Amino acid sequence: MRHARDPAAPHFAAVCFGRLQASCLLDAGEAESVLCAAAARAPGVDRSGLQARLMHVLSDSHDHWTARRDRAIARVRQAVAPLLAAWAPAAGVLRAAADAAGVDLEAGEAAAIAAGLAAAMLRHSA
Amino acid sequence: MNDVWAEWQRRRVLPLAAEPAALPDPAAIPPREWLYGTRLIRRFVSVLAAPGGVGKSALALGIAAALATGKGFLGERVHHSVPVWVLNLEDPLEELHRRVAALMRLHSLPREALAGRLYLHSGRTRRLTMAALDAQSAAVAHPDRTGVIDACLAVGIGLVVVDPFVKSHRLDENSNAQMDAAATAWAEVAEATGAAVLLVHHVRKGAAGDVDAARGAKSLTDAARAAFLLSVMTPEEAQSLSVPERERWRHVRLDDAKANLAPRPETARWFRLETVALGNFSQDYPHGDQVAAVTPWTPPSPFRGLSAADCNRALDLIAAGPGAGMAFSAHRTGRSGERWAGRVLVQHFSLDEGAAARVIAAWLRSGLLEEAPYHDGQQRKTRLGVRVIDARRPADKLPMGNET
Repeated sequence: MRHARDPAAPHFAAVCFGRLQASCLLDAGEAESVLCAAAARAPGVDRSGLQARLMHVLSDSHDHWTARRDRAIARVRQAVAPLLAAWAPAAGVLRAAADAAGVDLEAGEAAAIAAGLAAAMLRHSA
Repeated sequence: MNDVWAEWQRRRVLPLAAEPAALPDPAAIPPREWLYGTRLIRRFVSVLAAPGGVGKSALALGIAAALATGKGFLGERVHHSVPVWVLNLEDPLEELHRRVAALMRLHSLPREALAGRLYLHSGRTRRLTMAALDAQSAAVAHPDRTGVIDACLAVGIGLVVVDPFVKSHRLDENSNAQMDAAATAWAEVAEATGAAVLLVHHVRKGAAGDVDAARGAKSLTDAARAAFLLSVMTPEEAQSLSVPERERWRHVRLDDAKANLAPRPETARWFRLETVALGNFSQDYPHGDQVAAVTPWTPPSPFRGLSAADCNRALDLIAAGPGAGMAFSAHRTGRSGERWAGRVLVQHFSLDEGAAARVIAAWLRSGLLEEAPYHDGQQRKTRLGVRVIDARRPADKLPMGNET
């Protein structure tokens, strides 16, 4: 929860960092050190209080995006599985994967999930 | 990731749907893409099977060179000359060079005719695994399939020769399912590249002439569009074709074991394994290498040296019979063997028994001789004998060059 006197930018950064962390694009230690540094520089606020709040926001954001990503991955797998079972054209499989992912996965992630499933199927049907 | 989708597109099974037959105009249907006689066809697998040591590698290399050069020096028509990739998975590259050199020397093939058209690969340099069991999943994996396809497409290979097939996979030869998987991997190479694939395969010793004798599961020969068998001349064939016993091993016959797309030929095609000196002398090896290379061989005509007048004289003797009231027999075995008509040719024209038998058989086939019952006055019983049909006799002035 943001205190009335907290600057907006570190809170926004904490939300972004949580998402990046969930996508494994940012290391947890790296995110925390940047946020701690921002809290230490913030003027006119209780800096240790701000730091604690930023850590909460980071953690909440990470959990939130992790859950969203898990649901998106499940959606992609569900959307792609019947198409792979029917040996649908590659373009159709990739389109369905991208549609199911929406904005919850990073660019290329849905295609990578579909390719992994296709590779497994190729191995097992050889 | 692109590799996965490329492979996916290749293996993709289209959804099943009953489609009405298009019934195109026959003239508009593209003809089958034969490459070599009726033995190799684009996008299909053919199998050349033979027991060990008969000369199948020499013949396979001969076919490869014929297709690469566009010269039908083995007696079969080359419909389209194509780049050829010989995957010899047994011998070192040096040995392949010797065999190609022997072939070039025997058939006077210039270096330029093969340069850039014949590609050689030795399994000693790099093993090839087209199919193997995945230890974890127990499924069949195809580690080199994509690589082979890509390599073929890169230089436009039109024929892939795999010698021997057994070295191209690591599966159980006695499992139909596994052999089918290995053969299918090659069929997929053929389909993906538009090339013909020739798999060289062993049969059990002494099982020549029987495609079912192909070692291991029958799936391989079933999966092939054409299968042919190479077998060494038998002692009986050598006798009937007047080939000396010491030369018999050099003569091999090729039979269609399965001809789905072509009519089964009535007669065998013969080849002779010639020994070619490479002339690569050295101080340690003053004679250099002698290497076998294959060349077509035609059995000598049994009529060789017989004029039409000779034939008519022989027919006169046959018509006269072996004695009063007796007729010659068509067969040289059994009780009637002593009355065999071929003895006339042996005694009066110095033919060997094999050639005489072929002449008599040719005359019977052409209707010049006919087998018919007659009354033997001495034996006082009805017997079978041959009689000469005079209307079919050759004119004396015409040469008797062939047997029909």
